[in-house]
Formats: sequence, structure tokens, C-alpha cells
Amino acid sequence: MDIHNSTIPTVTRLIEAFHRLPGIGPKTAQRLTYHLIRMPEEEAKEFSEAVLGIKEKITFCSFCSNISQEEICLLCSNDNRDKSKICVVEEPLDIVAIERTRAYNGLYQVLHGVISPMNGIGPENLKISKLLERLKSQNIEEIIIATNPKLEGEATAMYIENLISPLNIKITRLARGLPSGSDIEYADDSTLEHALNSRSEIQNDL
Amino acid sequence: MSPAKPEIYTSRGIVIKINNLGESDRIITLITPNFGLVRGVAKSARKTGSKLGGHFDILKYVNFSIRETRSISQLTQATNIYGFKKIRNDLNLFFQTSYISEVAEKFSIENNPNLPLFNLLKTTLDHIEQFGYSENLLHFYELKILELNGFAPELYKCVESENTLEPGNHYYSPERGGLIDFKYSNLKSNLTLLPANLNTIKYLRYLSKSNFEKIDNLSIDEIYQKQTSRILKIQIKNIIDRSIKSEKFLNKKI
Repeated sequence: MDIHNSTIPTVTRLIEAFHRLPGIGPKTAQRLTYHLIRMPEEEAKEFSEAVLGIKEKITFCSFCSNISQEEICLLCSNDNRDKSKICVVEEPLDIVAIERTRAYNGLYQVLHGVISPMNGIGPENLKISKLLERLKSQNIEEIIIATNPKLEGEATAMYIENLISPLNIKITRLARGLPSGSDIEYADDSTLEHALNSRSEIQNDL
Repeated sequence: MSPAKPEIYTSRGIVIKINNLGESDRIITLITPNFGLVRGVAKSARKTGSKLGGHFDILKYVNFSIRETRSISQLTQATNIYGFKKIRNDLNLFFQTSYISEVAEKFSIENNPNLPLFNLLKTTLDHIEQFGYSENLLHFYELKILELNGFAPELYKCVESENTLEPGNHYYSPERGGLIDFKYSNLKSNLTLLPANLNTIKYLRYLSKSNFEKIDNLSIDEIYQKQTSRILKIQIKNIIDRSIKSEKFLNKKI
């Protein structure tokens, strides 16, 4: 391929492989490939084993669809977690962000995307049916919808809410408002509106 | 040769598409009155502290500044003009307006101003926001977008014989962009021929001469609505030569 500018098929193959990754342009793909060429053999072996390991050992949890090494992930199999709550997130990385807060001890459901008509993604392409199965088989008291506060995330939240509301389960949505360290001057209308609507009384212990 | 000097300009635009780029950037696609389709990178828009992220969401009408560079342009500032709140809070309206936006995107060209197309999109979204969605409105929009881009369907003459059509049932050919007299239908086996009932033809002619105010109270049988829908959608796909991903969401009722 002309963009990869290499006549050695093995090198071209690796450049093309890197180029297929999100956010990697042709130049970066070339740079990474030539970095690997210069890398000691042992390090390169470790790198390739790490890549293969992802495909061989990583699967999706049969309950929450999070990435896992076992059939049931560490979070779902942990008896110390609150099994009456499920937090619905778009991607596995969102779990990492929420876990970092140490403010939530319940379970999760990963949707693996959001409803996006212009990308042809509908509810049937997401793991929403898995969530419904869990609601029927487990004793869940609260669903926390933590999709991103964008139009597509909101639409997905609305869709899930419509599905779950007949089941008489408490449905909550992550609060929306001004992020720490931001300036009101630069906040967009809907963020400010949400911040005003969800304003809270100042607590003395703050 | 020295690199081209960056140029900064401002415009209004409706955000129709967002794609993530790299670690925390987003590519924003807007339809604007003065520059046609505009694509730009909003740096760090995915971060919570971003000054741009909240403004650049789908179906937001914004004022923005953009810096032209040699590669993809960079969005630098944004303020919200209007947010189409009713559409954003209704799942069905979101599905229907996604189709409307996608059709507008497919007919838009980068750096090619198309003020009538922008006005049509904006007025259609305003109309839905104020009065709701209807099949009549969608068909009116589809027909107008074809007309604005120079693909107005021929509804009065046979595209084969060029004779004025007699009142009656005929066919519509997307390849030829108009009605074909039913007498010619057997001779043209290489063309896609869609049935066009007399009432469907009258409906299309009425829409063609109509405006937003006239179409709201229009009542038409479902069979003719469906025929019209098929004709216009196949005609649009025939011109853009691509499928419209959001089309399958049009009839999804939640």
C-alpha cells in the first residue's frame, strides 16, 4: 500500500495492523512498527503475548457483559457487593471510572454502545435484553442509568426507562451539573439548566 | 513552501453528527448557512471540564469559531443558540429527526454554501419542535430537498415520451427522476418502476406547490402515503447512491 511506503511485506502487514486501531494514523503506525523492529526480541515477544492474551483469555461476563477472564467477572462474583443495585454504563471503561470514586458498591450492566440512528445502532444491537433478563431473575431494587449526558446517551436512558418502568423498580439517573473547577461563564445552557434544577441546600458539614 | 496561514472564521450551524477521535477529542459535523457542511475537531471535548463539549451535541443550533488548518479544522469557541428541547426529550422525535438530519448531511458538500438547504433543515426542525412530526411533513421535506438540489421529480410529463400525462395511474422511475406513462411501462424493463396511483400523483403535486403551513391539515389515505414514501426514499437513495442508516428507525414506535 502506498501510504505505508514499505516494500517488505512483513513490515507493511504490521503497519496496516496498527493503522486499523482507533486514533492511529499512517505516520504513527509507521513509527510504532519501526519502534518494534528496534525492540529487543524478548520485549517484542512479551508484547505479542499480551496482545494474543487479550483474545485468548478475555471474554465477556455472562451477567453484566463487562470484560472478564472468567465466565463471571470479579465484580459480579464478589459477595461483598450490593446485589440490589445495577448501574447501567455504555462501555467497560466507564466501570473503571466509577470504581475509581469508591462511592458505589453495586453491580453493573455494560451496554456496549448507545442508540445511534445515524450510525445504524438500535436497541437490538445493545445488551439491553441481558439487563431485562437480570431484572426478571434477580432481586433488583434500583437501576442507576449512567449513560453519557449527550443526546444519544439520553435517548438510550429514555428507552431503558420506558422498558423498566412497568416493572416497578426504582430508576435513577446520574446527576448533571457543573464539573469541579469549571467556569459558569463557559457552561452550556443545558448543563446550567440541569445544575439549577438539581441545586441542593448547603450542608453545614461541607 | 511555507504552511498555509491559519484562518479563523465564525458561523452558525446545526450539529448533526459527533464521532470520538483519539483519547479525548471529538469530530463535530455541522450544517451551516454560509459554508455548507463543516467538519472540525473539538479538542478535549470529551473531558468533563471542556468548554466546548456541552455545546457540541447532536441537534444543537450553535454559534462557533473554527480555525482552518492544512489537515482537519479546529473548533475553538461555541455558544448555544437553541437546543430543540422537545425533540431531545422525545425518543420518537429523535429517531425521526435523525433521518431528516442524515438526508441533509448526504446532500451537503464541504465548503459549498447551500443556504436554502440549511433553511429547509432548520425550518423543518423548528416545525417539529413546535407542532410535532407528521408523514406529510417528512414527504414535504424529502420532496423539497430533491428540488433544492436540482433533482425535482418530473410530475407532469412522462419522462420517456415527454408528453403531458393523462389523469390516471402511472409509474415512477427513480433512474429517470419522474413519472412514466403506464403505456410505456412494458417497454422499459431495465428501469425500476414504482406504482404511482392518481391520488399519489396529486399528493406529490400538491406537496411540491405547498409550504409548511399548508401541509399540517392535509389528510391522505395510508396507501397513498406509503406509495409516496417509497417513491421519495428510493429516489433519494438513487441520487446519493448510499443507504440511509437512520431510515429503519423512522417507523420505530417507542
